[in-house]
Amino acid sequence: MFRSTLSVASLRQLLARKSVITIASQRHVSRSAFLNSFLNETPKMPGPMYSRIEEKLRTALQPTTLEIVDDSAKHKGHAAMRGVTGGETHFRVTAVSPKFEGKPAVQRHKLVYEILDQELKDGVHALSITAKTPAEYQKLQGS
Amino acid sequence: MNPSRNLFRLSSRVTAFSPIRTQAPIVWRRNLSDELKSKIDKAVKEHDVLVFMKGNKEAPQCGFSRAVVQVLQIQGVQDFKTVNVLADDEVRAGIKEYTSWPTIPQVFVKGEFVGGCDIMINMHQSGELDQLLRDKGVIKAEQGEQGTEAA
Repeated sequence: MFRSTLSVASLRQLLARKSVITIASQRHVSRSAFLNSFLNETPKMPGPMYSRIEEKLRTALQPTTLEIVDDSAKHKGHAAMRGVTGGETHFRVTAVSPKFEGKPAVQRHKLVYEILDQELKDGVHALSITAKTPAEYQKLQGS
Repeated sequence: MNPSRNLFRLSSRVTAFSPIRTQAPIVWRRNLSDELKSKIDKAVKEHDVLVFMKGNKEAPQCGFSRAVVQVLQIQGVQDFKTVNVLADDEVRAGIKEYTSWPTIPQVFVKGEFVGGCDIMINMHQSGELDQLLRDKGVIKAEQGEQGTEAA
């Protein structure tokens, strides 16, 4: 679950310099989630689809928090996935962005779907969305 | 060479330098025929709660569809209609265009599109779904979530 813009080489460098946590906080990844992904999961490079999704959402939503999880491995056996190879197919997206302000849930989801229109056509089969405004997100964190 | 063919070559050469050429060739296919649209219109109005899903209530073919069925059942919606999109490719593509919503399942309450799986689950958790179903008269005041916590 690495952030996509880091290459293997730069990640290794970062690990060596023990500056990962700084990077994590700069990129608005919660520390525990980030460290857990290090400790518990086999390191896995983000696939091209992951990177595309991340880049598009960052550009379009200017999110204060963005988490993308590639769940594809958990769905490999599904009937619909038979014969699909290289499968980056199932994603979970949590986005916190002021662009969601004043929009009901359906409109927020539609906005995300519009941004990722091409990705959905190019093989993303399932996209689970959590879309919050910064104020809503803060309230959630506080509770 | 036949002149009309020549003209075609010429026109394709012109587009080679136009910015349009940089995009992938788009073949616009409209999935939603007027006939299908009016069929969907009619179906969503006829049923209080209508779910476009993969599989059916008894045997959902996808975890997201299953979740939506379960949420509706927990909410006490006894009698909702489901449409299996896997059974008909035209409906599967058409419904996505009808709602401008690219994923399945899709839930309609009294003719109005409410959302997909994430929205249904969130609304269920927040109590908004219960409120909506009551407001629309789909479930009665005394029925619903009572007792589900203890179960």
